[in-house]
Amino acid sequence: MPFFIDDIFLEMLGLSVPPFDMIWLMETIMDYGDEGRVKENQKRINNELRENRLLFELGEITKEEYENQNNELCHQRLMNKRLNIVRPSQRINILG
Amino acid sequence: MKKEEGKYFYCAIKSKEEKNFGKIGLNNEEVYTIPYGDIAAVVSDSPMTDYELTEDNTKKHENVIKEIMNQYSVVPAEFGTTIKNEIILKRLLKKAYNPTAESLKLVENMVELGVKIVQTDKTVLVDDQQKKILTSEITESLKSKAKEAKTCDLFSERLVLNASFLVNKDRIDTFSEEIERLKNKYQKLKFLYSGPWAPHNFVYIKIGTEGVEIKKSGSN
Repeated sequence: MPFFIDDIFLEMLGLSVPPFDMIWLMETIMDYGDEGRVKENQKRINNELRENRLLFELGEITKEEYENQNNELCHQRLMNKRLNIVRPSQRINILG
Repeated sequence: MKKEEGKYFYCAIKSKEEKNFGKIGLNNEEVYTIPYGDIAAVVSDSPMTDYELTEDNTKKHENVIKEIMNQYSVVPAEFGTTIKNEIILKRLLKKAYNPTAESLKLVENMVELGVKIVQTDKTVLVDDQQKKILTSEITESLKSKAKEAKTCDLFSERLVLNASFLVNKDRIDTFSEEIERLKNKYQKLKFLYSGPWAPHNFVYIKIGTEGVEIKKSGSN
């Protein structure tokens, strides 16, 4: 874990490390934030998928409109899922 | 071609027998039972893959369950449940035998019916209080014809009520009559009535990192 070794090394030299801590803190908070956003997005997309189906079953949109919107939302869901897989918190493991 | 070792798990039923339901499964695979004691898992051979939650896949999953429901009461498995091989599946069935058997008792001869009530252009339900009174009135009257009720997510602003009801197969007609009565009473609202479904909202099998879980209505 090069990041932590660097911190300890700098501390041993008597150098202040608060900025590095802050970066770690910010990254961590942002990672959690991203995870939250991914989940929130997933929920939003799932709701839109269901609403699209609802409108189709109510006869308020045509089959073509339904299918176009459905394909678009399925694509969005897939992209969001991929974002979840490659989120920054996991990238650290690869580099480590 | 090499036979897939993975098993796609559709539902659990009460049966001691090995039975084949034909090639009705995902990827047109044969659907069959793997019994453990007097319960059985309904499965089809499948690669260990992450099934996308597409309309085609969910329809296929649900159609298999519907077919099984013609003959048995079912405890459905969560969509996309794939187990590495038969040995692991049997271990899971052994571990989850008691809750599965209990759940099968709970849903014996039961089906799930879905009710969605939607605001139309003619409806003006601006007031939340008005909405609350109306939904509780409708839910209560439908609940009286069902064994259990569960309100579900209002995923659209147009939805006034989204609920599922666990109904005895012999009482489906009575429940449907109540729906008709409510439709006549609230003509400005649109009712979407669907089913019979497997009781997904009341009990289902979830297999996760901590093993097998049987989720029952009200439990998280």
